[in-house]
Amino acid sequence: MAEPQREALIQVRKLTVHYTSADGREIPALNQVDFTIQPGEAVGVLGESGCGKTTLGLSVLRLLPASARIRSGSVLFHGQEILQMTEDQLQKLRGAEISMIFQEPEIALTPVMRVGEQVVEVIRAHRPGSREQCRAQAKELLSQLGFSDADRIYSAYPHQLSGGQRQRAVIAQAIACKPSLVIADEPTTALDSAVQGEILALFRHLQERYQMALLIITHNPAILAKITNRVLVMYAGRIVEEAATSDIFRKPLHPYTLGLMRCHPQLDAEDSFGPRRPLHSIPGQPPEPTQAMRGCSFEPRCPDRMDRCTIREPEEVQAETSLRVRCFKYGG
Amino acid sequence: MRVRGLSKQYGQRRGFNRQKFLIEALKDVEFAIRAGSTLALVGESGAGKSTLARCLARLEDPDSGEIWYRDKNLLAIPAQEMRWVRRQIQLIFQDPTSALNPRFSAVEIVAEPLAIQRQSTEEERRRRALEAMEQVGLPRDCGNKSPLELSGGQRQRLALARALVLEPKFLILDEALAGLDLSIQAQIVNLLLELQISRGLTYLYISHDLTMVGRIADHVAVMRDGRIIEWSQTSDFFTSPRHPYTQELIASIPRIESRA
Repeated sequence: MAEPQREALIQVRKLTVHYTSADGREIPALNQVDFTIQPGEAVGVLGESGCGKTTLGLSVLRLLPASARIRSGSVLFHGQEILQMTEDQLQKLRGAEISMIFQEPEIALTPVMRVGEQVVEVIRAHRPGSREQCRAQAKELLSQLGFSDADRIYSAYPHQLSGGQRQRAVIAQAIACKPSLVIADEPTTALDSAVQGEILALFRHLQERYQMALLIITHNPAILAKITNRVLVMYAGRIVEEAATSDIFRKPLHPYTLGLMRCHPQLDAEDSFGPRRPLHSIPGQPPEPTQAMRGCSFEPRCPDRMDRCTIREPEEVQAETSLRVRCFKYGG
Repeated sequence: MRVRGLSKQYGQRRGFNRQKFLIEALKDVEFAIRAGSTLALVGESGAGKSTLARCLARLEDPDSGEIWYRDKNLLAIPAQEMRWVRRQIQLIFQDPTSALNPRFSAVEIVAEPLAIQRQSTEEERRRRALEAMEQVGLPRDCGNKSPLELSGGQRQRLALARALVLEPKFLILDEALAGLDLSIQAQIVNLLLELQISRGLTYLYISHDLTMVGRIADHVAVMRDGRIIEWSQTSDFFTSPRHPYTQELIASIPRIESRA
C-alpha cells in the first residue's frame, strides 16, 4: 500500500463496495473511489440518489449494512487502516475521532431519554470524568450551539423540540468529543429553508472554531456553496469530477456537474422569476446499478456524447480548473 | 377558488388531568386563486399549510369559513355533488410511497380512482390509466410493476398519473417534490408546466423551496401560525417583501454564488 504523501486526515484509495441483493445478485455501489480530506477541511460530496454517496460516508466509519461488502481498497485515518481495525478500535474511533450526522434527527435521538442526557452519554463513552462534569460540559455545548435556553433543552425530550432544534441536538452529540472529522449525510434536507440556513451557518462556525474537518453529502449544490472548500461529484459509483468549490460553481467541467448545477433555478440569474418557463433538466435517469456498462455511465444522458464514449470509460484527468474530471472532452 | 374566513382548531388532551388544549391550525384564512394560475404557499412546518390543503381537498372539515370553487360553496353542497368535486380537485402528498398500495400494480393504482368514480368499463379504465401514465413519462413496462419496484421519481410520477386520470382542474401539491433529486424535480416541474398550458390546470403549490417557488408561481402566500401574513405577486415577494418574517425567509435562501 502506498504511503500517504502528506499527513492526510482521511485517505481513501480505490475503494470498491458491492451490495448483495436478496436474490444473490451483486450490485456495485462504489467503483474504485479515491479521495483525501486534509485536517480542518470541508469537503462536499454531490450526487443523486443511488450514486453511492451515502455508501461512501458509511464506509469511512465501517457502518455499512450486512449486505454490503468492501471488495477492495483502503481507508486510512491518520495513516491507520480503518478497514483492518477490530470492533474495539472502531468504537474508540466512532464518536470520538469521527462522528456522523444523518438526515433524520428523529431517528438519531432516542425518544425516551432527555436530550441533554443523550449528549452526556456520548461524552461519557469516550472521556473520563464524573457525571456532573459531563453534564456541565453538555450544557455548555448546547449553549454554544445557539440554544439560548440550554437548561430547558437539556431536560426536554426529543418530541418537545422542533426539527431544527433536534438537528442541533444531534450536532451537539456529534461534536461533543471534538472529533477531527464530522460526516453529515443530507443534514438539512428534512428542514425548512429558514432553519436550513441556520444549521449551515452553525456548521461553518463550528468548523472554524474547532478546526474540524467536514464531509457533507448532499444532492443539492446550493448547500455546498457556502461551507465547503472542495467538492467531489459522484455519478453511478464513481467520482466524475473534483474541484475547488469556487471553481466548480463558476466553471463546472463534467457535463453531469453542469446539468446538476442548472437544474436548480437561480434567483440571482436575470431570468429569475416569472412562471411557466421550463427548467433545465437532465433527461432520463441514472443507470440501474445492476446494468453493466462498457463506456461512460453518463453517456446515455449526456448532451455532449461522442462515439468513443460508448466504447470505453474515460480515465481521470486534470483539466483547466478541475483537479480531476472523468470525461473525453478533456482528454481521458 | 376563493376562500373566506377559514378557521380550524384541533383539540388535544395533555398532561395528567387530561386538560383540553386547543391548537388553532387555521385562523381566518382568506385568499383566491385565478383559474389556470399557480399560487405557492410557503411557511415553516407547523404553520398550517397542510391543514389548509386537507381542508381544500375536503379531507378535513374546517370549523368555520367558506370555500368557493367555481360558484359552489364546497362546505355546503349536497353529497351527490361531492363526487364531482372529488374529480375536480386532487391532492398529491410529499411521500408517494405511503400513498400507493404496494399490493396493486402500477396500472391498477392509476385506474382505481376511475373505478371509485364508477366510470366506464374495466378495459376502458385500463386504457385511460395507461394513457395517463404515458403522459407523465412513465416507461411502458412500468404498468405491471409494483410501486415498490419503481424509483422515487417514478413513484411521484405514478401519484401524479393517478391524480390526473380523472382530468381534474385543480391540483394541490403538498411538498410533492421534496425529497426528489434535482434533475427529477426539474423534469416533474416541466411536466406540470406543460400540463398547465395544455389543460389549463390550477395549482396550489405548497413548498419550502423558495427558489423553485420563484420559478413556477404567479402569486405567493406566506403562512405563519395559521394565518396568511403576506400575499403578493411572485416578483414582489422576492424583490420587496413587506412582512419581517417574509424578509427573513428570503434572506435565508441558500444561494449559489454567481456563475460568470
